[in-house]
Amino acid sequence: MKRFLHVDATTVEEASEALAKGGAMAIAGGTDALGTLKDNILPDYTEVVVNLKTIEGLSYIKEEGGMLKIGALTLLDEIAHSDVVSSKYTALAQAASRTASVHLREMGTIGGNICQMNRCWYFRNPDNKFNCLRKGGGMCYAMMGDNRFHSIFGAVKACIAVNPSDTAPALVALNATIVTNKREIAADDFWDVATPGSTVLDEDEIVTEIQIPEPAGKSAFIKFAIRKTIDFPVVNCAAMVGGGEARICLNAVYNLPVRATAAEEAMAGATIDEANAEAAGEAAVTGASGFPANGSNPGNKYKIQIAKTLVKRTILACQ
Amino acid sequence: MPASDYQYWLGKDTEDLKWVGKRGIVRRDADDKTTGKAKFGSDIELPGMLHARIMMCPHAHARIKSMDTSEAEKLPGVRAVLRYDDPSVYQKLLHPWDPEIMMNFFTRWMCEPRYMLGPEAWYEGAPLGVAIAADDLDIADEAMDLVKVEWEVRDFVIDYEKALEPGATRVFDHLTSYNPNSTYFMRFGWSCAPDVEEITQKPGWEGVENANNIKLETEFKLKGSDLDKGFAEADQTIDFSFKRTEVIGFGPETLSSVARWTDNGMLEVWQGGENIINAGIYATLLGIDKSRILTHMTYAGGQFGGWDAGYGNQSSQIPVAALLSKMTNQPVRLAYQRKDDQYGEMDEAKCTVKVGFKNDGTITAVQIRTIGANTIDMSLYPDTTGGGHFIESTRIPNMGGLATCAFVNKHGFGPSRCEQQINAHVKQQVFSRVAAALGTDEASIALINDGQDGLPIEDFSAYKIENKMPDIDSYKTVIPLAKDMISFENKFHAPGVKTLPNGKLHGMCLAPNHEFSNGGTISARSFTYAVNLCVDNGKVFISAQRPDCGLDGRTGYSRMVAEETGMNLDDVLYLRSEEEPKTQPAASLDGGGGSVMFTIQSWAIVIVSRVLKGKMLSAAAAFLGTEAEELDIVDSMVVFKNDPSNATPIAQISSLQGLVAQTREGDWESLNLPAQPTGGGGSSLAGGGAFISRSINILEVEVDQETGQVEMTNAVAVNDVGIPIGPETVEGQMYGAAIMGYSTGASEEVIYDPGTGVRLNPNFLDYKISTILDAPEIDYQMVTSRMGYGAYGSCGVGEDNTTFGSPMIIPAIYNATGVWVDTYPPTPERVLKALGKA
Amino acid sequence: MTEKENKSSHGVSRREFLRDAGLLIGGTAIGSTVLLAACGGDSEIVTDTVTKTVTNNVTTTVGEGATTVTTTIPSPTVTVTAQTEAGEVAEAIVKLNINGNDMSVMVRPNWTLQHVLHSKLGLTGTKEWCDAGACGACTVVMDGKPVLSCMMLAIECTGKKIETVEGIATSNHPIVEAYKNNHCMQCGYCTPGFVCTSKALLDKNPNPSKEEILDALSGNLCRCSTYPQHPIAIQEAAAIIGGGA
Repeated sequence: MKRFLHVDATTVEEASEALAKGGAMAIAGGTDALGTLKDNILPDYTEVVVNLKTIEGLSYIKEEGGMLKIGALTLLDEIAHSDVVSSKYTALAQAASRTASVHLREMGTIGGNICQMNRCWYFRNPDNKFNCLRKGGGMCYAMMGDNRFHSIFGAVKACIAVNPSDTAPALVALNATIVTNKREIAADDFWDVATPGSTVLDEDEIVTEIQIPEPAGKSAFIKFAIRKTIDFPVVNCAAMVGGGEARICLNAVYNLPVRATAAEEAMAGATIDEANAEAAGEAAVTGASGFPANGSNPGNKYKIQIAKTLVKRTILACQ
Repeated sequence: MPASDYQYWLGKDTEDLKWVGKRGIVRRDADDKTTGKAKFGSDIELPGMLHARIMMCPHAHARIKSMDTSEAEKLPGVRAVLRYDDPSVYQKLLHPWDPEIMMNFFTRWMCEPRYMLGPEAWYEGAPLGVAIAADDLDIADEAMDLVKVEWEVRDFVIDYEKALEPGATRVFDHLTSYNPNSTYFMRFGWSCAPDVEEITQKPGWEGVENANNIKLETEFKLKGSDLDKGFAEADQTIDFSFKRTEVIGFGPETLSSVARWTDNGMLEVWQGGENIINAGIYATLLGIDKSRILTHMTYAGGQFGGWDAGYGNQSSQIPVAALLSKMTNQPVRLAYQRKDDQYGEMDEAKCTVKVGFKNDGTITAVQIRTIGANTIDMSLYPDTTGGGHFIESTRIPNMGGLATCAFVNKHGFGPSRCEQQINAHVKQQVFSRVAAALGTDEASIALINDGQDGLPIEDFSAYKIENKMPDIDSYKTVIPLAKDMISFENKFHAPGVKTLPNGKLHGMCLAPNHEFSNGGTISARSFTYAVNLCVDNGKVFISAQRPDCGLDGRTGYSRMVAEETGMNLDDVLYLRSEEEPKTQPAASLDGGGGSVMFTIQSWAIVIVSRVLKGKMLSAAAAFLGTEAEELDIVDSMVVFKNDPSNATPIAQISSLQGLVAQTREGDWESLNLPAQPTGGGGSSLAGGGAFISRSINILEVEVDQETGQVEMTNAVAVNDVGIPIGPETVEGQMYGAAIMGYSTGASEEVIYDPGTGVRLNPNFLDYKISTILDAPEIDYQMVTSRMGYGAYGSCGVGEDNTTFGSPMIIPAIYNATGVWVDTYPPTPERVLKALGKA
Repeated sequence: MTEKENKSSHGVSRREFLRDAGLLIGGTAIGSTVLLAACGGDSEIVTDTVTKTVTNNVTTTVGEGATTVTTTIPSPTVTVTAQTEAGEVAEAIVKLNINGNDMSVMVRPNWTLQHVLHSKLGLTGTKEWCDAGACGACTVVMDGKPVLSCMMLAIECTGKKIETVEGIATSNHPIVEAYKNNHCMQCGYCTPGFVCTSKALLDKNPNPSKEEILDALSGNLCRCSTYPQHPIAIQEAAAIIGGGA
């Protein structure tokens, strides 16, 4: 990891000011930030790392005013093991418990997990070997290369990387609001294709809290990955179904978490059973295309099969 | 084959053994490794040590047109910049065609014309161009960033099938002027089993006008084979093909080397590796005598041979560190980054197979067409072209094929656990497919076809009796035992018919297997293993290289010395070579390796122990005023045979102090070990190996038809280990190797960008090694027939369990689903494709 | 590649500042050799460099315009030894509590805790394997939790209670003996990480089930695949702890 300067922020304002100067990167748990710095993946190496962990009072889980409030610095492990989250906001607890590895969950924060950069092994190849479209270059290497883990719903700004967060689809399914030092953003609107980020946040904007309204029904999260732990998802899915409402979200299938609106419509008010869930799964992937196999690239059409299966199973898990 | 009783030369019955085979002995390295005290190569820190990096090529094939290092040289903290065009004495480092170098490298598998720190590189991530030493790694890395290179990016080919097409891009396009009489090809034409195999080989550049990417083409045939006749005799034939993508060792420790020059001009190196032999390579590259090199052998983090030698590995890294050290007059560590050390390749190949068999399961003919990339094995060991394991453990009379090995622009080669992947894959697939066609299991097919060198197993009864082995077929022991352990009768079913309560499909694969050693002939390699035993202060010290792919040769060899000399185990100590640096012993060819090399070298340990004991008894007799014949050594004391209570501790007998015994003093003639066949190798009885210790693995899987996910649930490993030297260690080899094999088979592959040849997963997030949750629950048991080739009848087990663990998953998926996945590893996309769902 | 050069008020870019700061750090620990020896550090080498490091820091001035200021910020655990005008730290002396001892060590912000433990404090049991948070070999116990020291900046670890494998071994924790007796190692490179993870598990859960053990160890890779032995060793250690031995 190349050298950089360092600032311990003691307040959100301090952190924001430090970030506003440019050339800076915020660090919380560090499990994504340090990976990007070690691999030196960006054209401009970060000059200053701004530590958010020194800000007091951003780690909590509490129910207040009919909603769940989680401080941005709350560890994923704490969320996974929280009784209130597990019992009422189940999808989020399940997502947190399936994120990364047991060690990383003791380090990574919910704020960091939703702000992590997208995954693409060209974008993230060490030493910025692929100056791709997203970095201002001339082409998307994944589109022409090996895209077995890439988007099945097409490109955003010509990029087919995927958002790999496990908690993101849970927050979308649970209709969360993300509070920053500047505004409140609905989870539906939080993610974006930015460089280097993956959110709509300004350079000096910092997530401070996650708010989740009490869900109308039960929720669930299911992750499909190659190994049982450590891995990022090939596809994951979170759903909240009940009380005449259905919110279903897939991730790792597109640059942003994908609301499966057709599946939601199919399930809203419907009985949770095998047939309905299966139909919802089919509906969820109607717009999916994926890339065909080509030489050593197996393509990613298989992710469509996995996505529809996960939608079905996640809905059934909301029973 | 002359009669030899080497298996039982020692004559001791199992129950008489005191230290060999005893349970409950804590490994000698356990404390070091559990407390953090163990020093690996990357832990060596010397006062004033500089840290160095070498440039890694960002392209699959490129040449440096020009390079500007001036900015790097100006960076504060940079101490030395060594360029490819340095006009000094280092030319040998730059020119691979020096016959002396090629010969040296070649003996250690340096079989490709590539070089360290040159101006050109033939794969992405290859070292070249410039090495920089600085006060610390931050500075060395930043200096490397400041080096400006004008690259001539050249065409490349990474797909071995494309590389073999007419008009394909030439990987080594400079080789048109190559002289085919040079040492480079001197060693080709090996046959591992000359008495039973017919081999025709030709290197690809024979006749420059047809030069292409063929590294070597091998046509092989079991002697007396008639494939047409074999297929005509068959009731059924099956044609199939499969691919194995590139899989690597990817050990945990990242390669680094430390070098410094002593005041008296010696080069002192610290290498976390297995073979001190590499000193010969450094010496050649540096133009110094190898007696001027002191080697510290540190622990190595899971290399399985991966750093052993070869381009870009330790043998070429150390000379660069040495040169930087010379320039700065300071110790230098040259360290790779994690992504730079993705070495330790296993085979990457496509096999097309035709098998003919009778309805009773007798296989009448196997024809194999293999093509693959870069790997050493398909070229150096003709019988690992896919046919080797049939020769070693079946009586199939008609067998042959053609194997073509192509050069591609991928990082190279170097042995790993294990280099016989393709052999195991072909044999496993043949057995599984024949078994499925006949509605039986693989073990039944193995029993029907049991044998060696194309002969039935019964034909080896005479051999076993002659060598004082029990006349048994150990398949008949291991197979029922393993089946019982996994409740086979309750679980066996036809393909695709068993759905579990969780909705998944259940599948099972049996891998009948045998111990094997491609490590060469026993006599040759044991005889050249340099062992020095010395009595000092009532203890016996062993000075020898230690095999350590994790099996802790130190403890195993100490057990043997204690066994043979009569010393207590606590009084036998291994001199640690990381603390006692060595120059390369003249006689030593090897010293590293895993359980196979451990076993082969065991003869040297045992015979030298016997020499030492003889000397000890003679010296003690003189001291005690008696005859040596009257004395014995028991529990570290010299005792009178007729009155064991008359005992004198070794430490009190001054005439024993300083006694020494060495390998060359051994009476090797009396061992009557099989002679080394012409050309080396050793994979058949005639070639020096009787591979009659059998084993079996069983793997159970559950397949999720909707997602393509395959879960390995249970496994069983039963090995005829001959006799275990350290039982817990042998068991560790059994389950460890099996699980490593399952992991390589299930989820591991190196993935390249087809457009640029750049690796896409040079990290442990995307190169997927099984976690503790992914590994199946494994049950294991040793069988001890004493039919191994090593001392006491021992044999290695690590390689066979890894290599056969690897191919099992696809037949298991077939048993679950009734469809064949065509490529290893069976990732979800491949499984879903086979199921028609992607 | 173009580097964004953010100039400080004195016209020295951050990049230049960092480059010159490279002169400062010679590197190793500042602190009592007795303390270091107690936790398995190499006392001789450490002693050797103590004076040098201190001297360097006090006397060196870096860069034109930018200065090295030795300031003590309010937290007594971090002493900044080089920073930009904007207060961005280029290096500092941090106080780390390792195996029960306070140790001061000069660090750069980009140094991971693993790097500092392994290469600066001589606690070489904390291994770097994947360098990406995906293997567990660098596990240490921090405030009772098993965490990955390669994915943490040392400068951010002040005030934390850090236990390394050396500390666990020195304290004669039963897990060490259990690991030895149950052959939990082959090449041994990953073993210290397993020991740390296991120790943290036993602290939290003195009587773990096999399933709980597998979950706890699921972030620790072992290439030699010693996996089957670890639950046996951990339950053996748990029995000893439970028996009050």
